[in-house]
Amino acid sequence: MHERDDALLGEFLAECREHLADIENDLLTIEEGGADIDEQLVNKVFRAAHSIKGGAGFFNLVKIQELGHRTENVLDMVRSREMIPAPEVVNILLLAFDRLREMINRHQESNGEDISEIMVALSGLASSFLPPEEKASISQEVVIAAPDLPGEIKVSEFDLVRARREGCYIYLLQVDLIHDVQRRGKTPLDVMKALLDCGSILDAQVDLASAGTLEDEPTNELVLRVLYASVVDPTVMAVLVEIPTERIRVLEEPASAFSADEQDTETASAACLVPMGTTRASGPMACPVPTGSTTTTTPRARPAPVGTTTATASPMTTAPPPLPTSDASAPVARPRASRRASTETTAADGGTLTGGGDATVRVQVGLLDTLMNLAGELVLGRNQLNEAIGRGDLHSIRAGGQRLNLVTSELQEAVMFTRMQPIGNLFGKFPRLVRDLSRELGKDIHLELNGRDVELDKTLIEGLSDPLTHMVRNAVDHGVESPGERTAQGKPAGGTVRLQASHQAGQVVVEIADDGKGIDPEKIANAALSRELITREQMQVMSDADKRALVFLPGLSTAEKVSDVSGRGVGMDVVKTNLDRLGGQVEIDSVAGRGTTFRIKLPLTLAIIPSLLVSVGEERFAIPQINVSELIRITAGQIRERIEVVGDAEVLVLRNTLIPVVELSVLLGLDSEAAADPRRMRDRRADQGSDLKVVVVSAGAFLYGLVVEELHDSLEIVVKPLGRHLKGLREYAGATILGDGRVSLILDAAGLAGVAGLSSMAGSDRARELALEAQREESAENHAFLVFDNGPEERCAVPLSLVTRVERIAAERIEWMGGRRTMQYRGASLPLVTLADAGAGMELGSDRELVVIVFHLGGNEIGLVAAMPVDVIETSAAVDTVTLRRPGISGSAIIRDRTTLALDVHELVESAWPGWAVESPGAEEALAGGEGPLLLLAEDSDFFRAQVKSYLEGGGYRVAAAEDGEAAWEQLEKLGNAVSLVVTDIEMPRLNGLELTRRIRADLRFAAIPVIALSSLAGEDDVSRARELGVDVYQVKIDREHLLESVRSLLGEAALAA
Amino acid sequence: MESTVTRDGTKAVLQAGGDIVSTTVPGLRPVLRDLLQEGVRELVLDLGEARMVDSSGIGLLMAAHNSLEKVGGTLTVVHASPEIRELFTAMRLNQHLTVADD
Repeated sequence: MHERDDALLGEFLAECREHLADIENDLLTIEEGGADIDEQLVNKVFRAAHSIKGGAGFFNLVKIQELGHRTENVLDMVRSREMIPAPEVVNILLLAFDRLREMINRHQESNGEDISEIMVALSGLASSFLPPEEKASISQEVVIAAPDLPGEIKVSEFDLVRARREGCYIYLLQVDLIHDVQRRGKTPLDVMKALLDCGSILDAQVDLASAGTLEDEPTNELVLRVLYASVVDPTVMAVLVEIPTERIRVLEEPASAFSADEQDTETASAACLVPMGTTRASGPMACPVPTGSTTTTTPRARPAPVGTTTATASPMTTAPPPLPTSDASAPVARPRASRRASTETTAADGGTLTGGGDATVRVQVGLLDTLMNLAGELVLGRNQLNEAIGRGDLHSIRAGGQRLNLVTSELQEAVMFTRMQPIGNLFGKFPRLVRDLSRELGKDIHLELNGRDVELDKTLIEGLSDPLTHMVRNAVDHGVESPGERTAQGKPAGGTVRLQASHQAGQVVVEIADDGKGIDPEKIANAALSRELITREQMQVMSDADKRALVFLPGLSTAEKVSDVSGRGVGMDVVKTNLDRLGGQVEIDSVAGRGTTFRIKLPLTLAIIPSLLVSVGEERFAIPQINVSELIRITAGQIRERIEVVGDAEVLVLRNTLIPVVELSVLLGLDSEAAADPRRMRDRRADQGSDLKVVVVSAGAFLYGLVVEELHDSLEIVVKPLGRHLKGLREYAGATILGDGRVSLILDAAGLAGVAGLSSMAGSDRARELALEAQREESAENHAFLVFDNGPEERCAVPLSLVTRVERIAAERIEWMGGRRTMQYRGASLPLVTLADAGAGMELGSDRELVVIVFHLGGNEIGLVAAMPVDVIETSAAVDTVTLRRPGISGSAIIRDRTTLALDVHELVESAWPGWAVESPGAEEALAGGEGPLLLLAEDSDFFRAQVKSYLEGGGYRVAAAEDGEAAWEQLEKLGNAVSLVVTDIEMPRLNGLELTRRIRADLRFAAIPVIALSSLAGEDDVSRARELGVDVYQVKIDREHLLESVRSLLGEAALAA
Repeated sequence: MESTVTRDGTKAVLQAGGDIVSTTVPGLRPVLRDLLQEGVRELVLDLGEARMVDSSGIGLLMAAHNSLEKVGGTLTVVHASPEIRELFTAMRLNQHLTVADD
């Protein structure tokens, strides 16, 4: 037995896995049906257990056999309606099959397993249901008579009935113990064990006459007749007992019910249908268990000449039966041959039986034929080409090349098909998962599976298994609420989790949807905030979708506490990583209270991918087409306009958005000179020698530009994994071999981004900025800016409202006084500043046409030296006050497609002429203004102070401005009840807005003055805290309309109250 | 390997002393034949030392059974190993000879 091919064992294990794959769902269906038993389904499960038992016996896997047997007994009782498949029964059965699966996966150790617990559970089930009349049939005997049988054979009716019910063949075997056993070097024990393992011996007789007596010479024939019941089909029987087929007689075939069953159920094991007279080409996979294997179905699905099939049969068919061959045309062809169609993993090539059982693939016969044809075509093509080359006939060589090209494409496609598997294989495990989990959690959840037929490359299917499991778990665990909660919300108590697969635009889309509570973006964001994964500022400007996407952040998901709060997230980062690895993308849709949908988009295959070839120096690289968003060639003249330098980094202006740009050669360290000098880009921009080729690459959620030297063709490349020693390189996804035989590395877009320090968060920062900008564009009005150049590359802007005059001057007019620049202006000395003085920008070139922009600050005038051209631009562009913020620069905005620095004149002056402008716009000045309610504005940023002030003044109010809370308080004390309303920033030096508000509210004189808080902080906590302290309106900065409206309504209320 | 015989009237116990296989059967066959000819009717075969019984062994047992049956005697097997018992049971040899514990 032990020498029996490992291949057989592999096939058996594969068959077992196949049986087990469907069993859970079948059991669940059986459970659902309750007392109303679907016999065919129960039969199917029963036969699965039976085949496992039989096969395990054959391979001496005793524990598997025992457990299979016990399970089979219980199922038998279900089938005969002696036992109702109540949930507890099904539970134990599920456990038993789980155990079987475990043992099959580790079949080598299975004999040492302790299975007593489950065995006891099973027999407990059986005994609790065993009806008394069952025992009666045990004593009944049936006589089986066969014409050429010397005696009659008696069988217990119970055994026979049972054998029939199990779908067994009843055989009469005549074994010659001398010739069939001894001469083959076997012992009777081997034979009997083999028989016992694969079925049951109903009766046996030694032909006593053939033994002779002690006086006789030892006989050379000793016949043992065995009445044998087994599911093993006749072909396999010959192998099993190794006796000539003429001495294997089939007395009874399994009941015909099986054929009908077989057509209905996909799995099914009843190969038993085949009568003895059929040659079943038992190829290398001829299997001791009666489940149809590919080879056994093959000759049937295809009307091939049977002679061929048997001729190629493996050595296993020791004795091809001398019986009428084949029913190739008979209608026995099983539907599954076509239904099962393309692929289905079965086990193991002979060598690696311990593995997961995915080493072989089932392939549709038609597909194999196509492959064979194509291989033939390939050979013809090669011959043609060889001949043409021999003749040196260029025309024919081309024709041959073309032919090869064509055939190769077709071949590739056909081969790809062999790797495709229906996603249903994967979906199949979820009903059990959902059932168990929802039971455990006390939820009532219905699982809906759609699009099982959608096919995917098997590596993708495998890779998808874990993430999908995780997401389904999450949906059940965190997504769907408890029945109580659901009813309270007016939803049906039972929840639904829906898994759906579909093809969309060359991709496969898998959706995991639940109708649960949805993901609350605020909770997620707050959780991320509390873990310091995002900053308050980031959070404030994030869209809901961005906040939900935070569940994929690593730090967020590992913390258990957060998952309680957020509802989701344990290991979601792992999900994301896994999907990234598969080249998949994931999106979240969620409506609070209505449910969540995760949408995974996957490529169809990973083995051959269309890619773009690029090169840097001598090296060529492939970028998967799926990552390539667009290709941009920036002509030398345009580089200045399209590439902006922000700090040390470059950004590309792409249709009003900025995307980071990195140079591939620098990133990969191909250009050591450049790597040493990160500012080289700037130089290149200056020299403008050549065009710039940029590949805009998408790395999951964000885009970045990759500067390459050359762009080449788009090509279908075969992905070769990198060796283990190179696995650590994040930059590369693999390698491929190009047409000229050279190796080219495949770039990993996400990995490269990581190496370049561009995280997806940075990407979403950008996205948020854009979203914010768009928002502002909608709501904000146009503001007038005076735009001018500082250095050649530095464009600056100041709010026009601050500018008094713009003077064109000659450089000679600038005088140096005590290390500072001044200028004669209107009969006085006008102090001058430059951005360089304040450390905020570059020196002005001396060759430039200069202007002086005169500002009126704190009652004095000061001039800013700038360069032409100067322009006034009305823009709604939002000022980004984070990225480029530094003293003197309040932020940046994109104005007319150029990044423009927004200057904070006050700060600028402060740093160039410290102390010069201390005197802030005073209260007297504001009072002197005359009419209109007086508002007190506390704001530390000059830019914003000027802006807000101008808004308010534009609204017809007088404004007293203060640069912090303390100053505002002083002014308030001075102005007293003249102040009708206070507008304050929150974050300010000395006294912040909240403290200011507290002071105002605590002081009886001012307690009634309405307070508007302006801040970029808008966390819920902040808002509620501000409210508690007495802030009437809390508002995000620079929203003119909003602000004026709030002021109007508060003043109105105050007036009414008074 | 030595087989030993203990006689007690018409009862004889044959200690097989080893396996009952094709190599030992030719030696055992005459011993059994002689015992029968000497009038033994109650033959006990002690398989305590036997680990294996092969086809020849079965043939020998059946031949002994046939010979004894002719003269109205009985064949009993004792101290058989579990495997051998299993074999006898599977082959239903226990219908023809007695398989006893001791």
